[in-house]
Amino acid sequence: MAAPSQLTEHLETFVDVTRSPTHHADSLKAIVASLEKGVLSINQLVVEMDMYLTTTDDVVRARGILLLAEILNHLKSKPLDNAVVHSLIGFFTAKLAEWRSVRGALAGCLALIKRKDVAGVVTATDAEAVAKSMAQYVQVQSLALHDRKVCFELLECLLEQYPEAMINLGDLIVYATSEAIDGEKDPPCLMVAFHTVELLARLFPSPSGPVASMASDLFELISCYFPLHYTHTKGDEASIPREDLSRGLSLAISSTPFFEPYAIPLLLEKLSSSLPVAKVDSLKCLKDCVMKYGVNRMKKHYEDIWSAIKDALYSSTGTDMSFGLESLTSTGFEMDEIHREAVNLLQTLVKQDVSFVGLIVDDTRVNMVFDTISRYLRYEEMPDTSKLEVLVVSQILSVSARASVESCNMIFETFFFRLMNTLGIVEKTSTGDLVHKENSTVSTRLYHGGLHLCIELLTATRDIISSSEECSSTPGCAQQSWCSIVNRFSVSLIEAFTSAVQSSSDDCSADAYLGVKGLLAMGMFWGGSSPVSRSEFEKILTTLTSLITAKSAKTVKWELALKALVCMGSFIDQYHESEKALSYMGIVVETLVSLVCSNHCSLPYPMILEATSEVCSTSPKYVEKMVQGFEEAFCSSFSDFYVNGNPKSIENCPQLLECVTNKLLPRVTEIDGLGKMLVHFAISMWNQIESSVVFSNDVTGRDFVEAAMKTMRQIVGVALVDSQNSIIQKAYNVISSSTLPAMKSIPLTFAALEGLQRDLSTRDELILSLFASVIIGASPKASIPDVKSLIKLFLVSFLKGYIPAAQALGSMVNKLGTGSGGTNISNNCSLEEACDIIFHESFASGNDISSDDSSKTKCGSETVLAKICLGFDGSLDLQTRAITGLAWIGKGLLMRGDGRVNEIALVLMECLKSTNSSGNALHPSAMKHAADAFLILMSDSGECLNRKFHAVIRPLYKQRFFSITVPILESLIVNSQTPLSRRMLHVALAHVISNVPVTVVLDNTKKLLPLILEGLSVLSVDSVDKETLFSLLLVLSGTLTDIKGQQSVSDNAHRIIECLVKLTSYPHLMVVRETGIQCLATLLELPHGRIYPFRREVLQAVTKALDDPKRRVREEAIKCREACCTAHHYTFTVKDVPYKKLCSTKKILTVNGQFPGQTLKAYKGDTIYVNVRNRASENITMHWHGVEQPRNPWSDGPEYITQCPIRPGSDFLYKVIFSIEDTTVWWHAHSSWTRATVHGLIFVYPRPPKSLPFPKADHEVPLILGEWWKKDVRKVVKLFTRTGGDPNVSDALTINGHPGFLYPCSKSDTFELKVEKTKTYRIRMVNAAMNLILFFAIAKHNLAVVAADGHYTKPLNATYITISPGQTLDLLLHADQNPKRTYYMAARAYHSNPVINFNNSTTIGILRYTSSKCTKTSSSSKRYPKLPYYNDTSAAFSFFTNITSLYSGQAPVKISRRIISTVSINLLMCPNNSCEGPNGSRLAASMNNISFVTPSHVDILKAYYYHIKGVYGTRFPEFPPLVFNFTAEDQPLFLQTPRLATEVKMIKYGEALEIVLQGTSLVGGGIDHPMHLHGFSFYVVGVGFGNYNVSEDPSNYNLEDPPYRNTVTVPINGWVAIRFIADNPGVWFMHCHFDRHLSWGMNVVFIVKNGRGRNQQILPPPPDLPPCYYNSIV
Amino acid sequence: MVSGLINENPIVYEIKERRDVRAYSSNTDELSVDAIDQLEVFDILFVRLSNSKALSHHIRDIKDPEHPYSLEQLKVLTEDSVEVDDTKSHVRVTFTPTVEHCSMATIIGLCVRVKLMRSLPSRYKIDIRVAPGTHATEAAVNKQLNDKERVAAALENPNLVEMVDECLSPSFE
Repeated sequence: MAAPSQLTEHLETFVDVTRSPTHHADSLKAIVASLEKGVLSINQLVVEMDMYLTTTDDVVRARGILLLAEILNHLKSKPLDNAVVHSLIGFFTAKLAEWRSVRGALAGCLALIKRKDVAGVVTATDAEAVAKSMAQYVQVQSLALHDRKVCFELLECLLEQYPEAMINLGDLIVYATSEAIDGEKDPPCLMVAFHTVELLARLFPSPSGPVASMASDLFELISCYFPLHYTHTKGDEASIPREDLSRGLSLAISSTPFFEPYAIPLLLEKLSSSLPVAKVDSLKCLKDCVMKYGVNRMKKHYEDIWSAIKDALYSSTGTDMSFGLESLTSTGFEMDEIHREAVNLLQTLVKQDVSFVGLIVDDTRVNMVFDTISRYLRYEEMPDTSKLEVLVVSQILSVSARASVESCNMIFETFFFRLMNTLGIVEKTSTGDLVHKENSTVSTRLYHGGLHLCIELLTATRDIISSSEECSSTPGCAQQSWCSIVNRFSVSLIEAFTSAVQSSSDDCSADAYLGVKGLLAMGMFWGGSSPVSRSEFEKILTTLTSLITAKSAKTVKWELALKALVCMGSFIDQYHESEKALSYMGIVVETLVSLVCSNHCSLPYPMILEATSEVCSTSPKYVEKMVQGFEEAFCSSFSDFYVNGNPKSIENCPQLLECVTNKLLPRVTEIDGLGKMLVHFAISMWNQIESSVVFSNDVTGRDFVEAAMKTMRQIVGVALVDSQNSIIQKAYNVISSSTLPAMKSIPLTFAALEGLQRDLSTRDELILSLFASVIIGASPKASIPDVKSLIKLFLVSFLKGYIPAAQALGSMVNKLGTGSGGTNISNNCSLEEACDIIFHESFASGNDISSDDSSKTKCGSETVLAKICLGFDGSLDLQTRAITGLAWIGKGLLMRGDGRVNEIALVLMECLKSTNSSGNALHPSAMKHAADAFLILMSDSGECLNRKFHAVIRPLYKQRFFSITVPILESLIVNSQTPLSRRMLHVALAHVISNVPVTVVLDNTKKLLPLILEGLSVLSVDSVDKETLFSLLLVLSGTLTDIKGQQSVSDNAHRIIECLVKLTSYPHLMVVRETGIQCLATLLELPHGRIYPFRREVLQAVTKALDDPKRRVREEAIKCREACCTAHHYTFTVKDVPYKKLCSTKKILTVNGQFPGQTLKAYKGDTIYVNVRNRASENITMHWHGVEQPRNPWSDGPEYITQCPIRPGSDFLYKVIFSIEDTTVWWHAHSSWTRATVHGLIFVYPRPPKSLPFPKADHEVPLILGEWWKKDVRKVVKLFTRTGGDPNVSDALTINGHPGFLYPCSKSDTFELKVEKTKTYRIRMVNAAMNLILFFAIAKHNLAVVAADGHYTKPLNATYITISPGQTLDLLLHADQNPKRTYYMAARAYHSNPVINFNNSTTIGILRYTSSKCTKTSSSSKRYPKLPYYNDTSAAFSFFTNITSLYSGQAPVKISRRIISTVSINLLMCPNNSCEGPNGSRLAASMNNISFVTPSHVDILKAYYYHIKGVYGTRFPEFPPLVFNFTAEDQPLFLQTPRLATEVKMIKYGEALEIVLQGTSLVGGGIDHPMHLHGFSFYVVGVGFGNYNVSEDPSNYNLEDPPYRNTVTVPINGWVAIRFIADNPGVWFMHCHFDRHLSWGMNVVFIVKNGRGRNQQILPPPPDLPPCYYNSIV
Repeated sequence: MVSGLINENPIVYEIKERRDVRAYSSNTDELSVDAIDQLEVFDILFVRLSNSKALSHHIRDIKDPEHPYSLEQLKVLTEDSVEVDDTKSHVRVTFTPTVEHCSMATIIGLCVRVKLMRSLPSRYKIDIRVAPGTHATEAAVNKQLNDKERVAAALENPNLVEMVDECLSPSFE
């Protein structure tokens, strides 16, 4: 801030309340910045601001103080001098007394008090002063919301930071706080207020302090909020969630024990309410209170609280218990929030004071349970009430037992004996002593309820141990009485549980569940002091294990036992119980593992495996054991099968291996050493094979080989490189000692290759497959010995039909040469060498291929293998195998990004050609393999070459391959000659397209879409390709829904629909039909009208699909059909219908018999089709008023301007293209005066997800203002055109067709709008009157204008509105008045010229609140609205000019052409002065003195489009031909005669036009003219009275946010200026929307010529355009 | 605007829980046929009908502007009121008007009929009835709803068609 003037400027800005908040914020920021930089000191600032701080102008002073406060708020961390702070705080403190500046003063105090320690703080004395001043002067509740919040924050700060000072104040501060809180309603304020109460309570803990003395009042203040209940809107982010506020309240209530006498009764009372929220809050609050108030104060309430808790528990618990697996370790039933809070409260109570347990112990209800449980033996027998009792009591007991050791002891002492007694474990002797029956399990009675209670108690003790041992190092539980009790009974309890499990039948899960849970509870005591001895523990394990081994089928009991064992296993592992671990290992693990090996048990093998793996997974030690066991089992069964030839023993091996791969491998990273064990497992597999040199059994177990391969692959995959090396080495040793190496020494001749097929032994095959698996899984760093010969081996074997060999080869090629340095032995062979071997190894055959040079080699590397693929030699089998092998090798190369893959692709494509280079046709099966090779190349393989198996993957390799192959395939398809080759090429292409990421397809939709479509139709022929077809269809559906693809989709719409329609009856795959129909439905949602012509086809196809055999297809078809039917198609049948109004009936012209006509609805940007059927006796055309119809003047509608009329009996389909229209527009007839009764509204909605810029209303109300003639309107027209005089004025005005009760016979014909209080209504209104501008208002209700003529406006509140014919308005009406009264709405004319006759009647509608329906309203309570007087021009135009566009900066600033035109009423001379106009002349109207003559035989659009001469001239003047004082009072008579002509104005495309319309006073002093332009919306940049001044008036234009309209009213003897860009080619009518002026000729036509661009030209004419009959006439 | 309500306080029933996960057992088997059954027809009538707000809007006009109950909640239609025989291509829907003099009975019936006509294969014969003894002019309504000529004529009436379409088409709001 260099100059003080700048500072002053900023100060001025801030102080000026008329400036916008952003300006304020900016100036504040500037000042703060300069203060922070040190350019300005705070002293200087204060001096500078002196004037603003002390001025007598209240507003300025308030702003000044606020500014200072805000500045300080920003400078919280800037060090300040203590003296400065002192004086500032003094200043603000003083200002607190002034109510006008209180806002700034509060903010200033707060800012200063919040200051950090480092930076100069307020002293305690000052703080005291602040508090005093506040208490004295500030009436918190009279302030605004924001200031209240500041107040509370200030209080909070004071209490928090200056406790001593506040204590000094004593009573005063407490009083001030309570005063402030009293009546507060805003949540954020309350939040702070509650906290201040808490702070107060903390400050004054003494019983003689002020809080204690005022406790009753203070509590009353805060208790009125309890329980908190508010329903604010969810979207309100600034607000505070209920939970937080309720927590704050609870803290406040529990803050001081002085509240106790008031709080507890209140909470107990609220707890008994029926509102769940109240219950939860009360319970939470009670818990807080219990903790804060202390035992002594609470004691007297114990009984009440106890009964309340009981009530809560009993009422909130359901009786359903789950006996599922999950609940074995949890509580076993669902708790709702009330329940949970009640439990928490109980636990807190018991924890606080163990004497509370006494209440429980003595409770009759609790005690009663022990009597009732003995009535029912089994769970099923128990009635619901009893179940509930047991459940709740068990909960109560376990919670209280859990609370503390003492309570636990108490509970056990009281109840456990009784329980044991009930269960028959102890017995009462005659002397009354309880005697433990040692060996009398026979007589134990296994009551379900008893067991349940038992278990709950036992589990509770377990929690006690874990919590007590965590805090104290000495496990002292052994001394506790509960422990000795449990200890005493443990043996019998275990027995009891065991027998419960064993005796329970399989169908009764509840008992078995309890037994198992009990055993589990007994088994999970830990530490040396466990009440359960080791031998008992082992007994439990044995029982559970025997449960598992005994069953032969999977039952609930089995699963429970397993789950229990797993729980115990992990428990042991968690607490490192070495002794128990030994027992567990010995009893559980070893038993199970031995089962795996022995396989002589009734249990099915998969169950053994499941049990073993589950149990063993609890600890690494067990895992080790298990792997060993598995290894052993594998070895024994392997040798049993292959060596001893026992066919049965192999059956279990696949399952075993599967268990290894599925259960163990995923956990390698979790369990240390597991990797090593698995490697050991793999090596022993190899050992096994090695040692069994001769297989006695030559049958291969297919399952076994596959499982073995999978396991081998994955073990190698997860192993470290070193381990991989050892496995590879082992495998290599085995393979080199087998007979296999002989294969590579076989001469590569065809004879040998084909002959060899049979002579590979089972063992060799197994070895080969496993070896291939090892290679596939190996990482690139692993070393592979003797690569070259291995390559040869694989080459030979894949040609012999071993796919794994090909995969291994692909994997080798993929990984070769990337290993690092010298450690890698396999780099004795480079990639080049390997490829050389693969591609150039020559296969000797009868005819020498390598010398066959006659075939033209395309590239240098065309290979020998390639030739086999192409079928030069060898059998078909060999060829197909070679192709598949080549594909895998290609995949390996492709993934590492090697260029050689392109050659492979070329070979494969060569195979697909109808005739290859040598002219031979390929066998279909070879072609099929070649096509499928592309799938191998592109798809992700789970078997090999993926990340898991360390494949080298170059990023984007698919995209690369895609971009190379697609163009080639495309050209091949174009050139393909046979259908077969064509199909195969499409299959290949489909594989490529459907496997590439969809974004790639989306980037190329334009090119790909035709290919995809062709592919779909080619592939749909044969059912073999159904899967390929489906994946291709999915690609298509992906493009339909994406924005990127939509343009080309709409270009190809026809073909896509054709293709999809065909697929809806595709018989081979249901999902294809389903997806096809879904795609069709998606297409129908496209906004463009391209779909419409195919509607019939789609409909037929979908209707047929309604009878599809599959339900899912039918459901899609129904959806699609619905979408199809509702797709923007309307039928307008125009016909005469009799209507009775104003005491007489006449026939009027209607659409579909309705008056006013139906409302059309569309989304923004939609295209709708309206079929107009003329079934009346006169011509008709239809106009879509306000719809710009880009490039489509054909459907615009004015008769003989854009079309010839639709003759009676014929039809025309209008295509209405919505573009930029946002809100309400309308439709009406545009032929003669037919629009009088043929009109209706069009509602446009924002296309989701876009939304309205104003709040959404609850209801929409269409409202059409109209005029009604008793006479037939046709006759009115006929009369005035014949006589040349004024037309008859109408007889009534109407609202939605109802005249209202002021007219005769119209008492019941009154429009009534029913509203509900507080709701919002969006009135969508149009003035459809023929010749009247109207005022409209609703009594007592303001109307908010939010849109005009289809475009949003800035919201404008109005008590009345003015609406010209043709204009539409969207108004928001808030039903916020007294609902007991009835309100009227009314409309009547605005008419500025007293000379001209007009309809001065008023139409009335009723606004009724629905609740007021029954109460009879007296006439006095009816409210009529106030309307401006008929000739109140200023009222009319102040409304018009107040409307502004919602958006700014859109109007054209520069114009390329200005057209000025007069609009005037004229007179034409009649022979003998025989007409009925003034002085016997004929009335006429003109623009620029040309009275427009409408062509009568052919329309101007057709004449322009087809170059028909003589229909119109193009010389409409740009400037009035005669310039005179247009608005003078007296006009010379000669000016009154216009020229009659049909002149149009030609406009170049894209011109920025300004049109100035100048009203004149010719003939009778002039009148207002509502001028409407077709085809455009325009900006009304200027309006004025008098003559337009071209040099001055433009400077006053509103170019910022002028209203964007389609109809503008030229004021009487005034002018308007409108601007728009002429970017809509076509023939567009401009005319006065007073129909009499239109008839007289106040019209002009603009022809906007075509632009250069494709979408700047008129659309071609529709085929059914109504014909003109000019030929026959001319 | 509508004058007075025909049934101001309808009884509202809880919606019966529907088995929403339908077993598409035949997914894997291309050749098997899922016959059209009771539930499917009911779904056609409800999953769409009651989801399309328009109907509830519409029914709201008839019943209670406060609470937009669906036909199902009012027990006008239940799952059991639909009888289907796929082999004979016949479906019969029996609906129960809430009050005996419900003048909307024919409209509801017409809506149901049009909905079924549009959603079932053309081979179906559709039979719509008022439950016996629940409507004052039961016979007349039944006759009206099942007379092909009269239904066709009704669908020529633009007012009626608009009403029905409004019922069945998705709403703009």
